[in-house]
Parts: sequence; C-alpha cells; structure tokens
Amino acid sequence: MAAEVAPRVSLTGVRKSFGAVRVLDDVSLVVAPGEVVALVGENGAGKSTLIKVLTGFHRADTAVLEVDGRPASVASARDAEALGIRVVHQDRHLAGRLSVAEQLYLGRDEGGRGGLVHRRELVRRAERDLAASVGLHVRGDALVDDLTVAEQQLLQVARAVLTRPRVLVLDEPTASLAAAEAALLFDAVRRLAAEGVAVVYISHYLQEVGDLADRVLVLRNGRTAGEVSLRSAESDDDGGRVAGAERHALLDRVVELMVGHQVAGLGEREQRRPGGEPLLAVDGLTAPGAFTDLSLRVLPGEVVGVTGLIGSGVEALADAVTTGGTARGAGGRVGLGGRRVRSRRSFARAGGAHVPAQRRRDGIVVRATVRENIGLTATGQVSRWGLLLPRRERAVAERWVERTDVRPADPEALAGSLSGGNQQKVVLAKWLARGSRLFVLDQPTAGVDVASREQLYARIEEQVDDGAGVLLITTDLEELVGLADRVLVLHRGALVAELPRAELGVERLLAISSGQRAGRQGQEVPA
Amino acid sequence: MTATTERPAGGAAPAGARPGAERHRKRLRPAQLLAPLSLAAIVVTFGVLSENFLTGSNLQVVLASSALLALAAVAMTVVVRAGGIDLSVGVAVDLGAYGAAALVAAGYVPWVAVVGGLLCALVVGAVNAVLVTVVGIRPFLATLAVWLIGSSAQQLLTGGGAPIYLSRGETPDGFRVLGGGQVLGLDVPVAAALVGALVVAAVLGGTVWGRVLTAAGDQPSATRIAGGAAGSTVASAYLLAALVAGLAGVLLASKSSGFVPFSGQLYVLDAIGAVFIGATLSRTGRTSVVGSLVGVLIFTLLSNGMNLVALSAFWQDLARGLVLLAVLVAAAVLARRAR
Ligand SMILES: Nc1ncnc2c1ncn2[C@@H]1O[C@H](COP(=O)(O)OP(=O)(O)OP(=O)(O)O)[C@@H](O)[C@H]1O
Ligand SMILES: [Mg+2]
Repeated sequence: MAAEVAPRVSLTGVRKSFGAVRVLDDVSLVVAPGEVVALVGENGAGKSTLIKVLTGFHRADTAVLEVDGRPASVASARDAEALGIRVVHQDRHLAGRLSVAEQLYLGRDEGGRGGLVHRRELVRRAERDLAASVGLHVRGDALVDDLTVAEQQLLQVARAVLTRPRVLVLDEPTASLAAAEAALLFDAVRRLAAEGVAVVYISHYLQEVGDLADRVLVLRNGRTAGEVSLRSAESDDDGGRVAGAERHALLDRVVELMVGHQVAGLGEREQRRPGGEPLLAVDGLTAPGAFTDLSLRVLPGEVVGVTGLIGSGVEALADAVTTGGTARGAGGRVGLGGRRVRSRRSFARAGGAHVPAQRRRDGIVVRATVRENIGLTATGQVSRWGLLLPRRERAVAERWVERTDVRPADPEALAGSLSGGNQQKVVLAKWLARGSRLFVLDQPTAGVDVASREQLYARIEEQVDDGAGVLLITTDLEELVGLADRVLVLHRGALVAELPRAELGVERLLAISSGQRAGRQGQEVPA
Repeated sequence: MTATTERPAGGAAPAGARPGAERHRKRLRPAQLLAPLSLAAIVVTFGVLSENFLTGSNLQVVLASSALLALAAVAMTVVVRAGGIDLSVGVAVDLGAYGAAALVAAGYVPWVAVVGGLLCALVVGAVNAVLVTVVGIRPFLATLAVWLIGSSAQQLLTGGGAPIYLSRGETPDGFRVLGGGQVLGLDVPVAAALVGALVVAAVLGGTVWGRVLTAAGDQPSATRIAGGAAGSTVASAYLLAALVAGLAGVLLASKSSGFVPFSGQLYVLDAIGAVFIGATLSRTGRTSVVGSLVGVLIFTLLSNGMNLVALSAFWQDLARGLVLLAVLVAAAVLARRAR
C-alpha cells in the first residue's frame, strides 16, 4: 500500500466501559482501501464491542474516527451507513416475518417505479442478486424465519454487499457455514477488496484468516495484543501474501498473542468402545422440505457426527429429533432411552439435551441472568417440590460457569450481555448441569475461541466416557474428525455415507458432502 | 483428549485485571431509581402543600383506597411477566363481585359466596388462557374481546345493568367483615392485598413455575427448548391473574354492599400503568410485584394528594398521565444513554 493514501477508516484510542468493567482500553483499528484486516481474539476480548463502537451502537468513552482522512462521527447505524460503513453483526437480528426479498432490500428504494414495488419482479431480482453476490439459492418470497442459520447469515452478507459499501465489517460470518459456502463468501470478500473496499473480518477460524487477511489485529482482554502482517515483499502470487510454512508460523504467532501461550490442537485419542442398547433410536424420520426417511442410532458412550451443506437437510435434523418428528408434515419415530419422544419437553425429560444453532433466539433467555438460565434447565438440581433452592442454584451455576469457563465468571451477569462465544458456553453449561444423557449438539462451538473450544470438547468427552451419547451436527469438519466415532453425511435430504472413525478425514468428508462422491449408502458403508 | 490447554485464570494480563474476571457488581442503574424518586417527590410535594397529607389517618385512607387497585395490579403483573397483557382484568373483578353479591343475595353462607365469586372470575381467566395458548390469539386482542364480551355479559346478567344491593339485614356479618372489618389493625382488604401480593411474589420469584413463566414471557421458543412447559405455564398465569382479580371483586362486593356493573373497569388502566412504572425498578425491565405496588402507591398518593389540595377532577387524569409519561420517558432516555 502506498504510504500517501489515507486510511479508508481509522478508529483510534477507543476506550469503552460497561459500568465498572472496562471492555476496551486504547484500541485502534486502521484499515486502508482494499485491505482485509482480520480482527481476532478470545471470547470476550472486545471484538464485537469495537465494531459496535464503529457503527454507533455503543457510545465509546473516548474514540477518534476518521474516514478517508476526514474526521467523522457516528451516533447511530444511520450515520455509519451514510459513511459507507456496513456491518454484518454476530448476533443478527432479522425481522422474521419479512420475506427474503423484503429483507434484502429493507430500507432501500428498490424496484419501485413511482413508488410501486413490483413484487414478482422484486422477488426474482432478489434471487438473482443473492446468487450472484454470495452464491445463495433460496426463494425470494420465502420467509426469513424459515431460512436456516447459514442462509440467514449469507442473506445478511448479501444485504451488506449489495449496498456497495466503502467499509465492510463481518463479525464471525462463517460460524455456521460449511466450507463450500464459506468459500463463496470469501470470493465475495476478495472481489470487494479488489474494488477497493476496506474489509474487517472477525473470525475464530485461523485457517480462514490465513487465507483471507492482509493483516491480523489481535485483541486480548480489551487491549491490542499485537499485529501480524501476512503480506510479504517477495511473494507476488495470491496478491502478495505469504504462504506455506511461513504463513503457518505467523498464524502460530497470532494464537500466542491471543491466548498468551501455545495451544495444542485436538490430539489423538483412544478408540472408544460404545456398547449396549441404543440411547437414541431414530426411525424413518422425515422433516418436510429437508430430509425423508432418516434412521440412525446413538449408543451410550458414542459420538455420532452428522454433516452436510446448506440444503442437505442437516440444518433441520436437531429440531426433528428433539421434537420426535411431531412437527406439521413431519413423520417418523424417535426413541430416547426406550421412551418415545413426543415433544421437546418429553425429549428433555427422557434425558435429552438440545444445543440449538440459533443461540440468541433459542439457546438462552437473554434478559435473564446466567444463573437463571442454568436453573431453568437444571430444575432437578436446583429445586425440590417445585420450590427453587437459592443456595443450591447459586452453587450449581457457579460450578458450571467455572467448568465451562464462562467469562466473566459471574452467574449474575445477564446472559445477553455476554460475548457471543461465552453465550454459547452457557448453552452447553445448562445442559451439562442438568445431567443429560444424550446431547443433540447443533454447531456447538460456533463462535467459540480456539482455547475454549478445547475446554468444551473436554467437557463433552467426560460425559461420553461416562456413558452419555452425542449427536454432533456440525459443518466444522475438523471438529467432526476430532470428536466423532462415526460420521453420517447428508446430501439433498438423504443419507449418502457413513464413515467409521478410521476412515474419517477432512478432505474425504468435504468431497462427500459436496456430492462429488455421493454414492448410495451401501457404497460408503463398509459391510 | 490429549490437549492440555492450561489457561491462567485471571491475573495473567500484565497490567491491570482482565475485564472478564471482574464481577458485574450489582450496580443500580439510574433508571431503576426513577419510580422510588417519583414516589418520594409526590410525598414531599403534597406533604408541603397540605398539612393533612402526612397524617396517620390520611395514610390509612390511602392504604384502604389502594388495596383493590393493588390486587388488580398484582394480577396484571403476572400476565405481563408471562409476556401478555390482560385488558379483561376488570371483567374478572366485576364477575367476582357479581358472583359473591348474587350468592349472598340468594341467601348463601359467606364462604360459598366467596368461592362462587372466585369461580366466576376464573371463567374469565380460563377463556383468556384458551384463547392465548391454545388458539394462539395475541393477548392484547384476546383479552380485548373478553373485555367487550364480559361487559355485555354483565348487562345481561343484571337485566340491563341494574345494580344488586345488599341491605344490612340480609348480609351476614361474615361477609360484611371482608370489606369493612379489621385484622391486626389493618383493614381486611389491605391485609388481603398484602397477603395476595406476598404469595404471588413468592410464587413468581421462588418456584420453578415462576422461573418458567418469566422465561416464557421473554422467549417462548428458548423456554420450550430448555425443557420448560411454556404453554401450560402461560395458561396458568391467566388463571392466577383472574383468581387474584376475583379476590378484589369479592372484597369490592362486600365493601360496596352489592354489585355495581362495570365498577371493576376503573382498575384496568391504572393497573397497567402501575405495572409498567414498576418494571423500571428492574435492570432488565422485568415486572415485579414490589414494583407494581410502588406504581400503585404513586397513583393512589397522587390522587389522594390532589383531592386534598382540592384540584379539580379534570386535572387529575392529566396529572397521572404526566407522571406515567415522565417516568417512562426518563427511563427510555436513560436506557439510550447507557449504550
Ligand atoms: N451490553 C453489555 N453490558 C455489559 N457487558 C458487556 C456488554 N456487551 C459486552 N459486554 C462485555 O464486554 C466484553 C467484550 O465482549 P465482546 O462481545 O466485544 O467480545 P468478543 O470479542 O466479540 O467475543 P466473542 O468472540 O465471544 O464474540 C465481554 O466481557 C462482555 O461480557
Ligand atoms: Mg463477538
């Protein structure tokens, strides 16, 4: 980058406290036109807060903002948009009753000649725009609420991209995307960067960061821990970014800056020997528009992984299983510990735990405290004869907050005020506290930082070693390979493969789930 | 798993404490002080303006006149906490009063009249519960319909709105004492309101049912996924509310020696106002029994004070509206500033 070019956006000296807690302390974010800066850090480091200062959602205690070298100020999202700053937030708030087309063009004058919006035309336009900008194929007149988390995520990105932003901020856009979908998103980001848009990219996936970013800004406990440039003077390919071992070393350095020490990855582990009567027995399960006639078993002490791309039906699996296939148009039979699942409540009562993909809507009650959230689920542990036992509840909450490393480790914090990754830890904590026997985990570590992820895996494995079963539904293939004893792959609403642990591999799973090696079930299932 | 991810717990950051390790101290937000401050301001203002305001006998009058509104507000608290609103709370009061008065007039013993009144009120709660949780109509519209139907029903039950009068002679003492007697130095309605408020507060704050109710009011789907019986709990909230309102109705029948159609309607809007003033006491805007009682006191002291300084009735609604508005607007402004 030429030195004389003013940064596209320069936000410096940011300080921000919530009450007595200082969340950002003299942090700066400077991005040049066409540059992709990755913003990384542990859960609760302050990434999302920094972005919300940039959009005027949070009022910083101190901050200096310049756009293209000119002083600017934002007091609201509207101000930010006027400056061309577009953000896809981590906790997305989509208006559920709108259609996809309406959501896509919300707040913009589109399609209307003389104020009249031609609905059908608009719907078709939306479908074209979505396909072209982020490779998303959904009906333009579908309700936003009916989209999967991944589709909603892409819709949000498309919405931001289509406004021709000057600064684009993506806060964990790929947390629930499969690799192939994420790749489309990366293409979109690269295109925009090539057009001169300044991009800020927040992610816990360092692989992505390495693929995409020119520079990595590391936050730690609300301060700047350091910066790592991924550009090199020598290399010309890939836009002059470092590659190979050199990049690897730089990313290791990023992790060190993030957590203050080195992190071991998912290690080798012993082959588990699950056995006994199946904990979870799913027979002929059908979810309308998602998959048909699906059967699977989870044994005590077993982790069964399920994966698939958008449209494979995998996103509807957790709901179908935990409601026992009783939704309208659904069918089939789900048995848990020998009892038939007829409702969410009977699922929970039979020892089932459900960690849903939409954590802010379904996973936690945002206006309740962490303690109340845990108590709501672990009722058996914290009450007798329907009466809450305050001391017990407090003790249970403290114990699980500590064991899952929720930060701040304060059971009285409002669940909604926690950082995204920490909210996710609460969702898992409450089911662990309940002593569930079967865990249906839908993207359980979405938005959870590298080190905390290890910790959650350890907690899950403890349960499994203790005889619990896990149905792990995730698009994170490394997670599957590291954790699962068996992996089922869905493609276009059908089970296309079942791989035992010995045959698991990221490449292989990727190929099968994208349909490249999608044979019939028999082909992949060893006799 | 071989990963040994030792994480230093706090104190690892070289300078200063890590933000995450600090406890969210239970700091009061300024907005939470609004309702208590308004209450204090009203007490001080009228204390200065009228020498009769801060006297023992006047405060007793205030308590006595706030008892029924307090019960109505407690009922409303339950429903609002469950994510709804109950416009038909006045109908439940009226039907409670009607049932009790009609049974006494027909010569039944007091306890039958009381139970009968409560059952009449429960009908209102049951209809609301079915409309909201089974049929799935929005609480505002469902209870609005019940309010209209209930108003008509009162006309029909009383032959076009004729009041029922209970003469001294035909009213057993056991029933008269409910509205006019005293226990432990308190008027019976005041004592009943206190007990009702305590019970409801305990149930909301201290039971699993209350926890599920509160969660379901905020996020029904998260509550169901968490294993809570969201539907039946919300349904029972409408029943509890009707029961509490029915109690107010029974007391009203005794106090006014009979039943005057539509007298319960007076409480509906004040109860809603009191509940939302009270919600500003919580950092998350959650309704609570204590908060609602503060709201009720604000309204009653205000009316009482304005009567004492002989302010014309035309001004009184304006004044109450302004106080309500002031608290809510200030709360909203403070919430924006706290971003
Ligand atoms: N509204 C709020 N009130 C109180 N504390 C808050 C609020 N919002 C955020 N915090 C605190 O600020 C800190 C930083 O949160 P932030 O959401 O910025 O983290 P993050 O880096 O985005 O983490 P994650 O990777 O988990 O998304 C956390 O300790 C969080 O609890
Ligand atoms: Mg975040």
